Amino acid sequence: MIDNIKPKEATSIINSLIGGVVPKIGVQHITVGRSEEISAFVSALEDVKNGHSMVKFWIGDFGSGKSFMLHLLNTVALKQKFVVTNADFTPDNRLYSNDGKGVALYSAIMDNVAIQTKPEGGALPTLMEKWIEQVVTKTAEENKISLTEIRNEQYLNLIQSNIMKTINEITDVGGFDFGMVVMKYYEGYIKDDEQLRRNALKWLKGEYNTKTEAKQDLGVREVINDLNYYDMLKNFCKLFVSMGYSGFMVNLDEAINLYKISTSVMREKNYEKILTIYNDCFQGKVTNLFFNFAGTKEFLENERRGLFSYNALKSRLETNKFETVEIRDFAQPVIRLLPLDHNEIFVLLKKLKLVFDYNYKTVIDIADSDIQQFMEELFNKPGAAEFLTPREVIRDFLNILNIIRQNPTVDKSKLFGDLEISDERPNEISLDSIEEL
Amino acid sequence: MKKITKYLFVTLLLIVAANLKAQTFYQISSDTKLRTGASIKFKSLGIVKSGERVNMIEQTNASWYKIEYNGKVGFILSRYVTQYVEEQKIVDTSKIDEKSIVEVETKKSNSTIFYVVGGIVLLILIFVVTSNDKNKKGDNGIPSQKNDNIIIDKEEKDELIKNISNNIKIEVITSNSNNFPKDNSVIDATGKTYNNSEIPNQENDKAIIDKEERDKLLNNIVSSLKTEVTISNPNDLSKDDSIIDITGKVYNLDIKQSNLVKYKSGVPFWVHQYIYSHSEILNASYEQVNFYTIFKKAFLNGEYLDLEGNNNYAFVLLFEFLLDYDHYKDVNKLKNQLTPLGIYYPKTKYYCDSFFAKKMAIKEPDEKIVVNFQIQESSQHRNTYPEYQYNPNAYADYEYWKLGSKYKSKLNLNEEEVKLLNRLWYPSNNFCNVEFCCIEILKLYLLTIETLKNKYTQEQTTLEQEFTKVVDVILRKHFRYHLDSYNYKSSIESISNEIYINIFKRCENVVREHYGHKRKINTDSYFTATEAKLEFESKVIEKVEEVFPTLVSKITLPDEPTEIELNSQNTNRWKIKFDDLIVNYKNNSNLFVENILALGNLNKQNPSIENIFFEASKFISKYEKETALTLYVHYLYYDLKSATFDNKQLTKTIQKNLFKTNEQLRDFEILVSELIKDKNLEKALKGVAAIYVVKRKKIQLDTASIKEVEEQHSGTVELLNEYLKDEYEDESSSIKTEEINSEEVKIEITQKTNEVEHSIYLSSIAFTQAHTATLEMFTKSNFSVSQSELEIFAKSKGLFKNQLIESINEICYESLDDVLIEEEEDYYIINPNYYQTLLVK
Repeated sequence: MIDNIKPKEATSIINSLIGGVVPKIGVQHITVGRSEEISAFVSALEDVKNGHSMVKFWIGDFGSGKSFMLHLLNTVALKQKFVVTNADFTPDNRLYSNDGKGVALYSAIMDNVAIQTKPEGGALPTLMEKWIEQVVTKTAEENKISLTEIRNEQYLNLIQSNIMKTINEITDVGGFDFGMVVMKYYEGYIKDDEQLRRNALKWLKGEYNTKTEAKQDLGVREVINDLNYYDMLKNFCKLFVSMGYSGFMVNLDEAINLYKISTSVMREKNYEKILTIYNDCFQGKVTNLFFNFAGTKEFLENERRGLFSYNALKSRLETNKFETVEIRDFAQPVIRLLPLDHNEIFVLLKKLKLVFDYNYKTVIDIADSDIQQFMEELFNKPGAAEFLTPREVIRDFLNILNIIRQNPTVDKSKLFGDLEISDERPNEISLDSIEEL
Repeated sequence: MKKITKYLFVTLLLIVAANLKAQTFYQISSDTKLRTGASIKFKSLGIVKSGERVNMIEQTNASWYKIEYNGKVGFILSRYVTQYVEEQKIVDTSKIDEKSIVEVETKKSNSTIFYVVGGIVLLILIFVVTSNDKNKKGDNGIPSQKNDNIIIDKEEKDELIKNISNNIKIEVITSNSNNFPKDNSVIDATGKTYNNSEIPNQENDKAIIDKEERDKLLNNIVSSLKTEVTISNPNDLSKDDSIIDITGKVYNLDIKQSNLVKYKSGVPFWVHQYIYSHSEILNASYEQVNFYTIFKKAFLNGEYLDLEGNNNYAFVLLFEFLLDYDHYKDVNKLKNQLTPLGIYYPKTKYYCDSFFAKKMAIKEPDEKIVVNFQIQESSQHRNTYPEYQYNPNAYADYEYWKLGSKYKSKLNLNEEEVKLLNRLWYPSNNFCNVEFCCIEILKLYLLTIETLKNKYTQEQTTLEQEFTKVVDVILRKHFRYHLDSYNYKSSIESISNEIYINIFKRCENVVREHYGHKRKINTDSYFTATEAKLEFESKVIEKVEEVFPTLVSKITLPDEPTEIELNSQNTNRWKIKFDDLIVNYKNNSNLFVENILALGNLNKQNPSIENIFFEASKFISKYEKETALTLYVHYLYYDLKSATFDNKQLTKTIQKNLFKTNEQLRDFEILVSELIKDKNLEKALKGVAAIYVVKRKKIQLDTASIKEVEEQHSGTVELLNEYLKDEYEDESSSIKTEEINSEEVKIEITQKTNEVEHSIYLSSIAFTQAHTATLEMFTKSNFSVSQSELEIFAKSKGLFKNQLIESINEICYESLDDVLIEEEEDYYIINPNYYQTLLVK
């Protein structure tokens, strides 16, 4: 019988997995075969919590479970009182550019800021208010003013100076403008000026394109742009930590889009940005910041277009020479996600069967040998070698369980035989064929 | 005893000498002039008579030889000089009526034969020497071995010689029978049968071809020929049981004792030549004619002269009898004449029998017995079949062998057609020997002639007229014969036949073409004179060629045996059908394979049958891999069976296309090597199917590692459980401590929560007053409050709206594992169920 699983978790697991997505809760029950990786990142999380910074590259092929791992990371980090944010690299989002693609990535990051009580993102206003309240409370405390009174406009200056003080404590680059905008936000709150608050948020999210506009609306001379957004991220990180959060975790998926940048100069600049982040994190220039990049093997290892084409990164990210398939080193910045082997998938399916039984309070007539047969059928289908991913295996398995639960008389082996495998990979043209500009 | 030793010695010497003394000499075949120079312009020195021997001095050129005759040296036309090889052995040693002169062509006959003969003679001599007295009077029997002491007087000596010569004769034939394909067994004088089939075949390639042709011809004589071989009384050497039985009636040519009478003044030598008819006697010399008259007279009186090897006399007599029969139609007479002729002059035996049979067949055609007569052949008779004789089927009784008579009943020909066809000789070639083809050619030929006739009629003329005109031009222009000359008249018939034969040949070519037979026969006319040629081309050939296109469609397609035969003659004939199959291929590989196999079946005697499958395999590899391999396996199988094993490989491109994985290629290679080893096609074909069956991958589960994975996983679950759940409590308390550390306010709050411990909410939940008030507001407004409403409420309490909600949610998170207050558009909503769980029960 399965231990320590909650009914709610069971339901969530089964429903999400049938839908082909990672469940929001109970994800720990399906982390079969990823024990090493999980303990590696849990310890990394502990380090970050303790004031270190970290960059991890999650490298694995399609269907190897990168997204699952990032999701798990999210869940755990949120629970650990991290401020977590996710963004995907896209053709329009990248780390470095001079046409707004960098700040676009920043906007995406700030839009997706999540905390435990707001796990789906959009937590920036909440976080700002929380911080302001903290400042207000502190100011009221210091000046012996009651909490209701201190909101009066007469104390505005007092609070503003306190905000600025805190900001100055935690920021180095661009801190003045950052403090100014936060003050504007507070002002808007006090003065009940919704527009002002929105403008302040807009600025913080990097949505102002011109300085003039920003000056008109908020009276600041600077905007967040392609060049300074990383400093802004660092500022936020410090701010969140000062608010009592464990750290700031930024997950960047689909790094293959950097690999796809057609011009080698631009690609290199982006990789340089990665190097900057990497150096900042590991040289202790920032604290409590956790960057995760997820990409395919190509993105990392391709000597012509991948990270390894940039020598400074190659030397930093090269695999531990002493690592083998059996003896793994998960302390490296690069964590390679190997596909689950048959044993692991077998255990996973067994586990899923138990979760399924628990969820529906039934006992489906599927023995271990049936699971093995199911796997064999699936792996012998044409295309299995190329297309089969755990996602499909799980979904097919749960679908069959569902059928059997609702039609107990159905022939299992026939169901197994009817399985089909389709290519779910994104339709990408071979990247090597892209002309170098 | 001394005498016997002497015999032995002399015989031995003679055998050796005979073999050594094989001599070449030259004889004149027809009276001709001896001239002073190598051209007819030179003066004549006199006439050299036919049959005279001359001494060759020099072969000046291809047409003139320099010779010496009667002391005169001169030049003579080479075509009248025949070269012979004389072998003296047989002539000298015995009275065997074996030919002593062997033609140049046959002189190659293995000299070992003579040694074999000699050896056997020796053996027999020893036998004779050691034979019993009592047996010495036996005619042919070999004396028993019991007696070892005998005295031989003169009479006995003669007897012995006779015995020996008999034996020699038989044995000579025995040896020769190696050269004679039809022979299977020999009977020696003692009645023992030796099976010769085991004797190594010494005949050369020509002999094989001859044999085949002869066999075929023989088969053609009687389509359903029933051959019964009876072994004649071995004691009676001369007895010949060969008879030809027509409709069950046995015309038995009885045998009498052989007793040849020696012609005192010596038989005039008549050089051996092919005798086609009785008229050959007209070419004979005076002495020869004289002797022939004596010989004939004696024969009719029952006295049989020893011809001493000059069998021409016997053959002339044979044809005379036949002529006689044609005149009087007296079967019994003919029978009585031919029987002794065959017996006493065994060389003529075969021809006597066959002509007799044919005369009978012609005589009784209404009884439809032609096709069904029986030949009772004794093996002895077979022995008498002279291997160097001319092919009787081709010449003797040639009317029978002409196409009209031959196919009269088979094709239901009318008299006119028979006549038409009788203008033609049997066209003996590979193509026509396939009977189906021959018949088709005949049909086409008849049709062509008929159409031609109609055509000429339309042109207000007749075929005969036109042909006569053509013949006339040819004779006058090409041969330059004067009109009304003897030559002119006598050649009309043959030239006219020439035209028919040419048309026939063209018909044959059309059929060949239609059947895809590669080789064509030459139809060029030999007329060199332009006018003759032109006349022939315009009047005959053009018309014929015009007629053909319409007639081609009437040619029946070959039936299966014919196809097989044609395919074996044309090793690439299959390509026509193969190309057809390829062009019409419509993604039906099974049908394709069936067709290819059928094609293979029709080519089962084709020596290069394997190429069909190879090409088919190459073709189908583009469409169907498995079929391609199947056909390739077929190819290998037939290649293995063929004379040379080429083992052609499929090209690399095809291989790449066929085998996706190295495993498949390896499997196939194994299959092929096995096929080469055991030649088991069935097995290999089954194996091909297995190559493309996807190998089912077995999933090997390792219980140990499963356990390990499970353990690790439960460890992870515990770890994560801790991080995901228990941490929160710690965290919350840590927040508390933090706040306590930094602010006193928090303590107050906790105190307040203590105050509200007896509230409606769970003891574990530490709500502030503001929180409680907020929740009350939610309960009052049915768990749904608008954002603006809440904003005002928060402000009145001196709080931020978002922060208020956040803090409530944070407090409840532990109990609910979810957010209590949710944002939905402009409203904040609380799930009533969640709210109920917060309440004290």
